[in-house]
Amino acid sequence: MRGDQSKPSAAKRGIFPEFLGGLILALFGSLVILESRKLALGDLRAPGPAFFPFLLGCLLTIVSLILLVGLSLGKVESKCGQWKGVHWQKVILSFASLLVYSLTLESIGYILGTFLLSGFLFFLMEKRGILLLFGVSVLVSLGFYVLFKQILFIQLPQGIIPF
Amino acid sequence: MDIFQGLIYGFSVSLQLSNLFACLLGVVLGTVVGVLPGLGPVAAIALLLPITLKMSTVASIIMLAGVFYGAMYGGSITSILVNIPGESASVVTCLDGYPMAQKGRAGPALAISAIGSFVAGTLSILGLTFLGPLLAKFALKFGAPEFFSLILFGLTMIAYLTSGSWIKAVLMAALGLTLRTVGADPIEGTPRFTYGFTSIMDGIEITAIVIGLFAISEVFFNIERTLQNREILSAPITGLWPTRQDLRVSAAPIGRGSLIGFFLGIIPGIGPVIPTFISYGVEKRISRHPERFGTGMIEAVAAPEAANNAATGGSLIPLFSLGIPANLVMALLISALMLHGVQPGPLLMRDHPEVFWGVITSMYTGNVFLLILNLPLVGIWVKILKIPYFLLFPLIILLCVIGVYSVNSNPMDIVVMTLFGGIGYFMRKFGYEAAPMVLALVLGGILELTFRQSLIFFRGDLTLFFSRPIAAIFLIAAFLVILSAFLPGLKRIRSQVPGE
Amino acid sequence: MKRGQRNKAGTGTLIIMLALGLFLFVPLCQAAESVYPNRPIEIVVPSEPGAFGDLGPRILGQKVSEILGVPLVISNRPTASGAAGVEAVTRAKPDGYTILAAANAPVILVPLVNPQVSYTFRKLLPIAVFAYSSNVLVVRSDSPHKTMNDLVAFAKKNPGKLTYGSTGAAHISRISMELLKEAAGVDIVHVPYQGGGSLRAAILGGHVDLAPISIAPVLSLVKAGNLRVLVSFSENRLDELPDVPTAKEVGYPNSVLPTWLGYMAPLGTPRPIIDKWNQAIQKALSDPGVKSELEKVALTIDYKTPEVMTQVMEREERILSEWVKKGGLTRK
Repeated sequence: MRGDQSKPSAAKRGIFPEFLGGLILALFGSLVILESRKLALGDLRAPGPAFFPFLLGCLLTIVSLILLVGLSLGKVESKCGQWKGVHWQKVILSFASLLVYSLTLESIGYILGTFLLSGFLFFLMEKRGILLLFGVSVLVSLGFYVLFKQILFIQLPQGIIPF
Repeated sequence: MDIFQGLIYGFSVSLQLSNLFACLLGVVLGTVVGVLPGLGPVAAIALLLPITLKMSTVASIIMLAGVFYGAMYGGSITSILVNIPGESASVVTCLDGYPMAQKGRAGPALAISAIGSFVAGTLSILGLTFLGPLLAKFALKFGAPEFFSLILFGLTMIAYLTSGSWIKAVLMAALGLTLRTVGADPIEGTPRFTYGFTSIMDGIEITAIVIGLFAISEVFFNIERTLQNREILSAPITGLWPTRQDLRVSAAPIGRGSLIGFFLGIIPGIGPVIPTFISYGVEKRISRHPERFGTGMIEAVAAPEAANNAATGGSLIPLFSLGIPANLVMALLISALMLHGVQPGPLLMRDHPEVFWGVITSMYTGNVFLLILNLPLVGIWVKILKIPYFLLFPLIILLCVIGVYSVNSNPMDIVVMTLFGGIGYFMRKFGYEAAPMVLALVLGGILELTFRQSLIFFRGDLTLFFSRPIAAIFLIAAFLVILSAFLPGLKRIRSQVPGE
Repeated sequence: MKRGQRNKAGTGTLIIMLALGLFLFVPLCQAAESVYPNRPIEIVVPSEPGAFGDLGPRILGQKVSEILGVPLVISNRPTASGAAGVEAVTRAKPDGYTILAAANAPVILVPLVNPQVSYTFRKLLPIAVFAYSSNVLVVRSDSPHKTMNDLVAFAKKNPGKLTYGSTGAAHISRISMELLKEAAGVDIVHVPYQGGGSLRAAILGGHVDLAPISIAPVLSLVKAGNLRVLVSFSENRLDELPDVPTAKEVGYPNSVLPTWLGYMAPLGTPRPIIDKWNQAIQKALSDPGVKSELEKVALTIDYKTPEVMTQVMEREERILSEWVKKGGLTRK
């Protein structure tokens, strides 16, 4: 299966996640329709806040249904991403670390947060000497801080370190 | 004062040493902020505003205008090298610029975008010089119905932006438009889909979404396969300069891109984004190899780059002749003029000829500076791709974080960027393209606003759209584009063997 | 490869040395004293760069910064019509290092019209008002309506025929127009635009009949004869246009709402800091350079003490909340 490019099996394997994608979009479209019903729709003379989202919800739902029908009839090319032989775990880890970083940035401050994030990311990318990783992370976080905050005067979150 | 006297007088102002220096400073700063993602010309000009109080009026406007068109040059650099659009005007440049870099042709891509920008910039200044006052009146004819039709026409061009499934492109565009409706309703101010979050009251920050979908998802996409190829480049760098063949195929697209950019740029509210993808669509439509667009076609880099630079010159027309800003950057230039006690508007040319002609002529020299500056730098930029990936990817992420944060000083924007990085990663995996979504997102606000304004004007009568000639032409053109994209689309589906 | 290995150790040491150097360098940049202010002060501006609410504090801030002896760092937070910026200041540490560049729209109007905003102006301490700018009602110069009375008479005979453009749903100039409509008992259709630029294009291009708009950006168009001012929504006649009556003079006193600019601090900020700021603002305003620069962007110096500022805000809150309660924004 690794790096499998042979045509028929790729198509079969691809259908399910593709289908799921189309389904999610169709559901999202219906959700938009439902949610926009809570707002005033207005009429053509004075369209209300829900007018445009409602139309878009309909468009989303209809087009994703077309996609689903096309997929199940085998008339739309399905393109499944490859999951075997790639480091998707690393992607999840870097996504999670970035998310944690962005949620805690205001409380722990730019320098410390960035130091931890860059250290983790460097470590994730390639296992090198711990000293080197430490040094590069300190350098990067302080370098960015000095460059952007002190030289370019961009506001950065302060957090627990008072600078 | 006729045009030639004006030009000579203008050059006598703009070639003074201090003004030349202001011009150089402006274009260099502009290139730098254009390269940094998120940090656009708006932030840079706002920072520079108080400083300009200590300079002469002409020098400060020359410098600030330089920042703007310099940023248009700079924005393409990161788009081509690492798939980060430095500006939303360079989203389209990513489509073929980045594949070119992956094929080892980053040098020609960067060079052609510098050359295209130079030619377009110069052409649009010529247009500004000779046609300016004439066109300003025409631009005012654009009311809400005309805007709506033009943007709808532009959005149908998205059909040409995709190299994959058109159904998915339409879905992505609809998704982008839907996301844009989050936040305060543009007519009544009612909050929509905000669920109690104040930070999205004015909508989700588009910069955060753009950078998430393009840059962060690109980094994720590379992380998953870092063991397979250790460098971003899958091919060795072949040649820094465009070949004669490259130049030949790019010449006409640059010309067309310049025309599209200039004429659309004049209309207040259009900005440099729409011209980029309309010109991309036009090139793909008339190309003999539309199927190869998206894989690294040099003309697909040249045309949109020309268009966004030409739009810059065009947008100065309403500014100088009527005091009407075509976009946020122009609004800042108006503030700068006012800070110096110069009222932009119909009387500018009469009361302050040194500003009018000085700034226009400085743009000729500014474009020369940019060309001289950028062509030798191509070699240096390309070397960025040689940074080991374990350093490059985290650095890109950190740069994106700063860029996104600098827009509103809102940490929630970084969360949004991260989430859309994840979404973009899955979209890539399943063959959904980010560009249609981003462009729909950028244009969604004005599309909705002008649609609802039109309905208010027409008292709900949709047929009145066709009573306005400009609007009617664009609507018919939009219809034709849909038709011509839809028919081959159907054919394509029929002829496709599953899993091709 | 071997050479690479050896080099790596050397590079590592070098990097660590550099990093330590930076660590020492950064704190030195802000060597502390105990007297306020001893480090840069963040000025939160709840509007976009280049707008009024931004230009005023930028001009005055330069002088205030000289007087206080520390840099003032401007951070623009225009999200949610400025609510995000105001809210951030209400939550900031009351140590005098976060100051709001206040204006009436984000501080008073926005909490009234946006149910998601939880602050009122009482969550902040007033420091001073330093300037105001006036809004005017303009028509194209080829418009048949020469005076306010002409206009009202026409609108009464033709309800719903006229349109007026605004710079946005919750803007002070638009509120003035709505209050005027209410007092005159006329029906003029509202078409919102995004900002002053597109509104100017719309009125010049003949897409709307009327535009309530701030005076600064239209002054040159008025002088060039493209636009005509019917009435100004200000207390007194404008210096630049002495022939134009005020809304008060033609019988609509309630619609007089200037856009003022001032400074406010988080609740709990010590009195001495407020006083220090207040004095710095007064001193900066007495500088002739500051005065002329503010005038260039059509801001008139108008110093108000914290006490007077509170009264102004109370009056505006009363007028606006009555209007919002009656249906205000959402009413057609």
